[in-house]
Amino acid sequence: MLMLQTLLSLAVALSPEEHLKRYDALMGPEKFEAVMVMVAHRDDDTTRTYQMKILKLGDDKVRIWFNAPASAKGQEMLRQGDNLWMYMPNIKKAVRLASRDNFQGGDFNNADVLRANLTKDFSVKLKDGAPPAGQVILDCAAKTPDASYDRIILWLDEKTSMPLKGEYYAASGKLLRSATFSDVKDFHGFKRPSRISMRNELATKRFSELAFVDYNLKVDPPPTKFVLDDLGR
Amino acid sequence: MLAPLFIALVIAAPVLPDEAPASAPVDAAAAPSGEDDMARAMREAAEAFGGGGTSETTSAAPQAVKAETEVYGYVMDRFTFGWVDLEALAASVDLPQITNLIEANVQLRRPLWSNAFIAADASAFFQQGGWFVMKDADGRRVSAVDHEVVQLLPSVVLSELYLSYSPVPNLNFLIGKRRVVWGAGFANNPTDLLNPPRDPTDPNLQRTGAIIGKIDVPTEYLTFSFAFAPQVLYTANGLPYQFLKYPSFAPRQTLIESAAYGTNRLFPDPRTDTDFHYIIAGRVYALVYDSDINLMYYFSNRYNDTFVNKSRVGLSFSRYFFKDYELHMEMLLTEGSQRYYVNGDCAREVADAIACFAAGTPLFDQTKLHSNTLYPRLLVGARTQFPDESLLTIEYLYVGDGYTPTEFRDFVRGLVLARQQGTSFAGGGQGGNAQGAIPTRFSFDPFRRHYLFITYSKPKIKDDFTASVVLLAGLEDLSGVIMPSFTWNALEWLNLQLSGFFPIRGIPVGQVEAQGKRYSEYSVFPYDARVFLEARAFY
Repeated sequence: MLMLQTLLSLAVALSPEEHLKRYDALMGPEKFEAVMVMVAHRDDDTTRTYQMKILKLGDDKVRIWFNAPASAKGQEMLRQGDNLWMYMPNIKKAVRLASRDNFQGGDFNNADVLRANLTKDFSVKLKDGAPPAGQVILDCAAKTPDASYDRIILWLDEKTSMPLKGEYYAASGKLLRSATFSDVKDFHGFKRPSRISMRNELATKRFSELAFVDYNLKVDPPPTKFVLDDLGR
Repeated sequence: MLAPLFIALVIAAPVLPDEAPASAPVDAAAAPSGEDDMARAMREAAEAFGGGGTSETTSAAPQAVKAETEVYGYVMDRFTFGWVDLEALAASVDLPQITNLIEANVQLRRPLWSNAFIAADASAFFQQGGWFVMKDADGRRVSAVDHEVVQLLPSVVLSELYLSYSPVPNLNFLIGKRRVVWGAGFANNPTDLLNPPRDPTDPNLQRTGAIIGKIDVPTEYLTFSFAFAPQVLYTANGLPYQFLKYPSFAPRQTLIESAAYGTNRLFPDPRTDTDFHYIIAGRVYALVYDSDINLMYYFSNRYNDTFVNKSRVGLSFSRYFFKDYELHMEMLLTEGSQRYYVNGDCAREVADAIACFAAGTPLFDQTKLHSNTLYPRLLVGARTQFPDESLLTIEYLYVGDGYTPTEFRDFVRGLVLARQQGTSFAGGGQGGNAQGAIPTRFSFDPFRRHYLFITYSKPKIKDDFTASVVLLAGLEDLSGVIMPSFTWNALEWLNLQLSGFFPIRGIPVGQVEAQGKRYSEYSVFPYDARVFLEARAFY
């Protein structure tokens, strides 16, 4: 009986690659438009709040419009392929950004928000050791120098592949950031964690929270929304 | 002429029914008492963008863009103390040592229909200044009589006001006033022939564009752009009223300036021709191998310069290398130069200048205006962000038609002679406002060939304090300016900044001699030091 149960569980168990694909489908679907808020908690216990709208098309096209704070209003970010730009309304032009630069000075980096497709950038295996019950732990290693981190450990729900927490490492093995994913919500029939808390492990009093106000998969943006010359329009 | 029409459109544009926001966001209720930062931000974001649907019963239709006028901007107060250098070659008679500038800025954006919008960026400036200084008969530094300075009069700057319309995704029309920048440089854009120049010590300070009609044809990896810009020849109260061609009569502004400056001009008044003043630009942008590449072609006729029927080509490049290092390049090639060169034979002594004057030989002349030599202006730079979030930008600028050591020596001698004759050079980088543009703290008008810009910024040195330093150095005589600053982001909507501005000009390298004194390039700069205290409140 025990052997049968084991065989059955092995038969339905997903491979690490399949878990990662399901994670990508949840956290960065093919097309979506979302309204997000980021609250950055700083060392002095004060906060900075950013409001933004994000639009995604395909694997590698993302655009963000900032609405608040007032000093960031009019700023936009664009990802096309491995390229990131930020449009600065004060200088009326876009400047290139690196994936590993901090996202608006908070504790996410640009790739955390704009480059959420881990399958493309990471090879994956199960982490050694026994995971907590009902969970699976993925050990993701960067396979491209453009990846946002050199290693990511992800704790996922075994049944849904919904992320629970993550750890993000530098090439030296140093833990840079840790994340928790919570508050699963149903956005027009699409369920995903609506809140991500990212802690800066190098300055442990700092952390940033990203929350989704709305999340809509039924959008069909034209590719020309994701070209450099469209920024500022 | 167009401005009142645009403003009327901004105010009166109707909200089209199909642009109304989707169903009222479920979280957009009145602010509950005791809500935390995240809850408040989520409620405000839902109000701003629409949305907030988290149940299956909420409309799943894509959220339409909210068709309401977005209004934002800032109010800024900048107090400046500057110690005027009375030995400098640039004119100092109209330079107050204390000024206070208040800017009230408003930026508007109004969707007209789903693929068109109008936008505006306008500022009103109120300035006060005083404590003028001069030398008395014994050469002592004394206070001068307060007087009115044209540059300090209240003004309105219409930085941008344009209509953008995309009938199909691959076509965009733009008409109005807009700052269009294609080059990749930060401190300086050699290929920018359209706009008022930036302040290299803070490029954020200049947002003013040009009157332009532009067509963009974007595709996924290529964009083709065509633009036509007539030169604004006269403005009144910040609004342009004379384009393309000088009128046959003397406009009000000419009369005012003639009264202010008389005939005491070092260079000829350019407002005497009967030509059309315009520029036509074509540009191809390509995203190739993760690189931004722009090829530009300009054809101009007396557009912001004295070139007639002049073709110029430009190139810019930008890409990230080794993950974290952005490298960029920008170059403009021009045949001939519109720079004024000094006739060295006329500038040795006063007697030589008098002899040249008697013979009708000009002291300053555009001797290379019709030259067939190609003069490049090339900027190469790199930028990186370090793990502690500090940002470093280094750029080198080569100015092909810049003065050689001999030409610079003759130029300085010419300025010294002109000053002795009571005619001063109204420049030297002290900033100010180019016609119809935002007043800047510093203007960069390179005389020589090799320059270095270094900007280092370290945020969060303590709470929300950012320390920055900008160095602009002429590499031939090691003169330049250094500008340290401390910015405190005191509140989400309030920035306070203390900054200084110090010329470097005492290093005895590459200096030139004129009538027994040694000069470097920034000997022209008319301040020994400037200190700025600025508060900027966003709304």
